[in-house]
Amino acid sequence: MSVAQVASVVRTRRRSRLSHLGVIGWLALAVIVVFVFVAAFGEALAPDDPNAIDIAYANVGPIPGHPLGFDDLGRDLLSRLLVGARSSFVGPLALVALSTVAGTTLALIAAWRRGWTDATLSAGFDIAFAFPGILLAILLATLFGAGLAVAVIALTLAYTPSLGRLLRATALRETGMEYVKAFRVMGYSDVRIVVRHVLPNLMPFIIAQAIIMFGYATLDLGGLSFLGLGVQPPTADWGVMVAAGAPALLQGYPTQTLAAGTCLVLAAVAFGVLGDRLARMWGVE
Amino acid sequence: MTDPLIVARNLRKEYGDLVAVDDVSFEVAPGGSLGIVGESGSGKTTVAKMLVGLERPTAGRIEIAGTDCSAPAKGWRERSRRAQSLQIVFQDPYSSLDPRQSVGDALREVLVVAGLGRDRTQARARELVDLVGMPERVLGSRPSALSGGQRQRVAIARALATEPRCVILDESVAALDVSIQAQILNLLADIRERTGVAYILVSHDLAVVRHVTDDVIVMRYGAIVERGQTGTVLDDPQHPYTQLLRESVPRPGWVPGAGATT
Ligand SMILES: Nc1ncnc2c1ncn2[C@@H]1O[C@H](COP(=O)(O)OP(=O)(O)O)[C@@H](O)[C@H]1O
Ligand SMILES: [Mg+2]
Repeated sequence: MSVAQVASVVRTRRRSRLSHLGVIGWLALAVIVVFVFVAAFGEALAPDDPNAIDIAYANVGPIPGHPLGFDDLGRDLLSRLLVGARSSFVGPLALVALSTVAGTTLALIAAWRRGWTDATLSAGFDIAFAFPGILLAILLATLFGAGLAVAVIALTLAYTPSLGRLLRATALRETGMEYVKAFRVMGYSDVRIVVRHVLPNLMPFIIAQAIIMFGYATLDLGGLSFLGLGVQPPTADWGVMVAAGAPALLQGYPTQTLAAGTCLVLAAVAFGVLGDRLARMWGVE
Repeated sequence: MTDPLIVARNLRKEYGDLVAVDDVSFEVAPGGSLGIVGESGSGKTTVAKMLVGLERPTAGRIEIAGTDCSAPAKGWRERSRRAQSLQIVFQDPYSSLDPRQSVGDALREVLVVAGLGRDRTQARARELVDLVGMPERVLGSRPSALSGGQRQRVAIARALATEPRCVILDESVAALDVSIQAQILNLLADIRERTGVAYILVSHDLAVVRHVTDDVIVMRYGAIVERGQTGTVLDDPQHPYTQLLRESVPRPGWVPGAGATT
């Protein structure tokens, strides 16, 4: 087979069916579907008021009607976990959406203009990439006060260059394809070529990367909330719950920290695995 | 004598220290046909890219239909105006079509960009697939469902869609089987007769050039070493390089024009 034919086979394979996800991929997808459902309907699913404090039940273990027991303030843990899903996913969703749009736009501009534009943007990616996002988050939180919005902005600045770098390489390959040259000769505008032809061909790559990124985002934002730099207590949020459960953990009541931590890790792993499987299935690793 | 459609004067292209094209001049008359031959790396594609505005000449002048086209078009308006004069079909049939776009969508998009009303694009797209000898049902096919030869026909149809006055074919049949090559070359000759389109046919294969073009230039290391009427140059080459080229490309089993008698 010639190089061209191999390339063609790879491109055809991109459209292969979901059945190629594999057992692990399907499992990850199932976990994500459950999480998304809980994030959407957590309040309705919660058996109890997640914010109702009753010191009498502080750190009480499972009793009928309260399968996970209570936290240090006597709030129902299961309810807080279910309601906390939304807060734990809204941040990552905003973060991934912002970083994906920004990273994709910058990568396309770099790949399309090439020359010094590409050199400048690539250097910018490298510098920004080297700067730790958590440090930036601490800096911004000191300047503007701690909160989810500030944490999302800080991590967007950290995530954008890493997607930008990855996508730029792929976009360079795509913009070098002969169909792009042919469209230029046929008088298509730059915007038409990039938006209607190059971008759709990069979508499998972008989607897979965004899903993988979502996994990191749940952990990083959960971590920032844990440090008190993201979602603020008393909001029910997994990162906040991991932190809030820490003192009780030392006193021998690990349920809150363990349950919230498990949810965070499970979400991160599920998104990571699904993104990875999709990338492999579409031939865009 | 009519004014030439394409004039290239003293074209030069440098990539750093490398001189890819060195003082190349030629003309193509309306409805004429020029072959550019030379082995790989002799600068043929670079000449083609400069003509269609994908590369900027280091020096020299290009005129197409009386307009100065020496530098790549600024902005898409000028780009689309030039598109009406000159089109190109590339070598690789596997990357020259957007893999996500059906043949019909690809053809209709060219027509819409060129300003044809949406109500008329469907009929014109049908005419075009017919012109390149394909059945109408390919309009619904993605490139991945087509063979190399079929894709190249689509690329040719797309290049002809807006009725340009000249089409450059840069090694456009090189990747195809010999029998398919013959079919496509005959198709090109046929289309030229019907539409009066001019061709610039770039090839490392003398037999291909002989089949389609009236005049030929022979390039080596970026410069023209021999030029003249195709038959004369290929039958009685004066330059030793042309003689070498002729001997080094034996094509057993293929007589130009065979495979194509319809
Ligand atoms: N973008 C480029 N950058 C640097 N060198 C190039 C570039 N394009 C072509 N060349 C060089 O210019 C010479 C002519 O190439 P090309 O025009 O593609 O030849 P041909 O089409 O006759 O095979 C070759 O040596 C090639 O390596
Ligand atoms: Mg070439």
